[in-house]
Amino acid sequence: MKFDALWQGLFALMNATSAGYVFLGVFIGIVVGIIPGISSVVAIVLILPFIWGGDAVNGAVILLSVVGAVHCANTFPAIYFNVPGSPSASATILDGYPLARKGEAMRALTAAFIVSALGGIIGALMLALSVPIMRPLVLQFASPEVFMLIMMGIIMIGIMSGSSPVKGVLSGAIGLMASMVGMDPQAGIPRYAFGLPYLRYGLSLIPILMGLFALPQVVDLALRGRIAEVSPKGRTRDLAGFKQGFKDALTHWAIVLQSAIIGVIGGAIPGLGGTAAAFYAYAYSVRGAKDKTTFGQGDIRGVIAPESANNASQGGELIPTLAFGVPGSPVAAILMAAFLVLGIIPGPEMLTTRLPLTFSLVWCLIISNILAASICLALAAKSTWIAWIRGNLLIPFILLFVLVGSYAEHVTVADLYSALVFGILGLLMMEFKWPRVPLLIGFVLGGRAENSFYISAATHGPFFFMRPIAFIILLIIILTIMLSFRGKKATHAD
Amino acid sequence: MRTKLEFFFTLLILAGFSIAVVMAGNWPMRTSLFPLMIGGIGISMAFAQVIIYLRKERKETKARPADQPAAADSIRRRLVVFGWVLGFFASTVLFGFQWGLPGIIFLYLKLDGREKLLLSIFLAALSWAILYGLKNFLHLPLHEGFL
Repeated sequence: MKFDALWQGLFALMNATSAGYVFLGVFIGIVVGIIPGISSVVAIVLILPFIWGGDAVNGAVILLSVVGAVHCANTFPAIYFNVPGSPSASATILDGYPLARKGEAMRALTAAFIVSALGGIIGALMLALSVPIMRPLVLQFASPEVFMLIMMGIIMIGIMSGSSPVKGVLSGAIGLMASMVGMDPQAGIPRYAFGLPYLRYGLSLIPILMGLFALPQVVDLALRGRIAEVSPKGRTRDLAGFKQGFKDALTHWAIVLQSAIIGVIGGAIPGLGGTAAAFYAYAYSVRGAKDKTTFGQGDIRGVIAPESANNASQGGELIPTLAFGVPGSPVAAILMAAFLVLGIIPGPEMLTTRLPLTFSLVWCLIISNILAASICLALAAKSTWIAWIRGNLLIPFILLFVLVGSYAEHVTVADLYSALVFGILGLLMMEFKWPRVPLLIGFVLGGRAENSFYISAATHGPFFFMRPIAFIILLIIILTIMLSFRGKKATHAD
Repeated sequence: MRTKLEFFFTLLILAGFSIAVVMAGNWPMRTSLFPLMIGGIGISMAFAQVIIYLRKERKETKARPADQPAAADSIRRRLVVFGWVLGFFASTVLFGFQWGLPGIIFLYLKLDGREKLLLSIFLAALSWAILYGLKNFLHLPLHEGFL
């Protein structure tokens, strides 16, 4: 049955349309990854209105291809210009840029792209292997466990995605409150509608996504200007560097594997994600090295470890996202929101009746990572032009897609107002370093949380959280909160 | 300055949660239970955040660094960019997608981006073409503007 689903998942992608979507996703992902200031989150948000209402598999395929390709292409500006194309390449800078300054950019890029592909494949395989482990566990979950799990997801993402646990949890609570706007599912009474017909039907997800994530990014991009004023040092058409990079990637296979496992685990823990996993993998490779002094000065292992980890994290992030509907990272949170818009409901179904779709996603991760790494390798010699990309020329078009995207779902101007209101909120949150992802998770999971809460209370009484699995989740929540406040205290003391 | 603004932002959030809880108090039990629960958590968290600011503010007044003109410049620039974002929305709502957006794109490129006239015209025309394509080939009924 499982092997059947594995092949069904592959065959679902073996048609011209799906292949075209993979190519398109990889192409968009590479463009987005190359440009600092536009993250995969914004790319997903901008693409979503155009795939909404279409085939769910193809929609998911294009989004996952984008994410896979961004993780590869974000290495270009990190190595050439000391600027990560997106946050997950932050750790690559530590040794990638010093290598470029020594004239070994081609070596660093080649090694980075090869291990990115390997990391991505390992991550996807881990996702596939997690299915038989997760399935019996997920099937044990009833409403009380689902409710506790949703709360755990919001609280963990809230606590881990920002500098302050209080701000994170508060952000999640704002999202939950926003999800309550509209008709009450229990009694059909309008809540927080203020007599406005638009609000009676509840807030739409796409304008919220556009406002919260794309608009603040526009402001950020406007403040950046040009990526770099100088061309990178060293030859970019460097065959010896290419060969050396290839050799490096294969010689350090143990670091690739170790970092990929760290990436998968980091990705699977809600709130950590690929960026943190990349730094952990880097630290781990430093710890394991005999000569630690070369790290930070241009050691190829310092490129291999984070690159393998951040690509592997994609598979890890999808494990809790698909199995429990609890995203492992901000990118997974946006992906989950996008999946819901496409009609893909994370949860037990993804591991039972919709297992072929889950395996399609696994195959998509493998194919897009290989494709993106190959294209990036081919582009490596001709990629110095990215220094001249100007935010000014991109901003109008991002805004155009924000406006059209917000409007297109329901064809109403009210969605533009909604995007603007959430845009202002997003800007203020970005300015004051309040995490925005918990708000989104709260909004997306709010309806499910409320339903599970009522069903749990009705069927198991007010102490539904005392059921064994629910109680364990409750203990994890309490422990996470306590540890985060202890950690905060220790940081202050330091 | 920043802390003060953030403090007011938190107060606004606290007020929002309080209003939400008061409103929920008037609804039947089944409708109000979840909003009251989440609103209660929101109020307590926002209150905790207000206290964190007040304590932080007290510490900062003891050792306040000199005002940094660079930070003021950065805030000014952010406000200018935000003004343009508002302009994009207003132009689209008032003049519609097909004409309002290319118009504001041209103005943005010329006035804020200081791009060359030809490039600005080309990119504005490109945006018009994209919108034309969306409207006529993908049959997306674009808003035509209130004016």
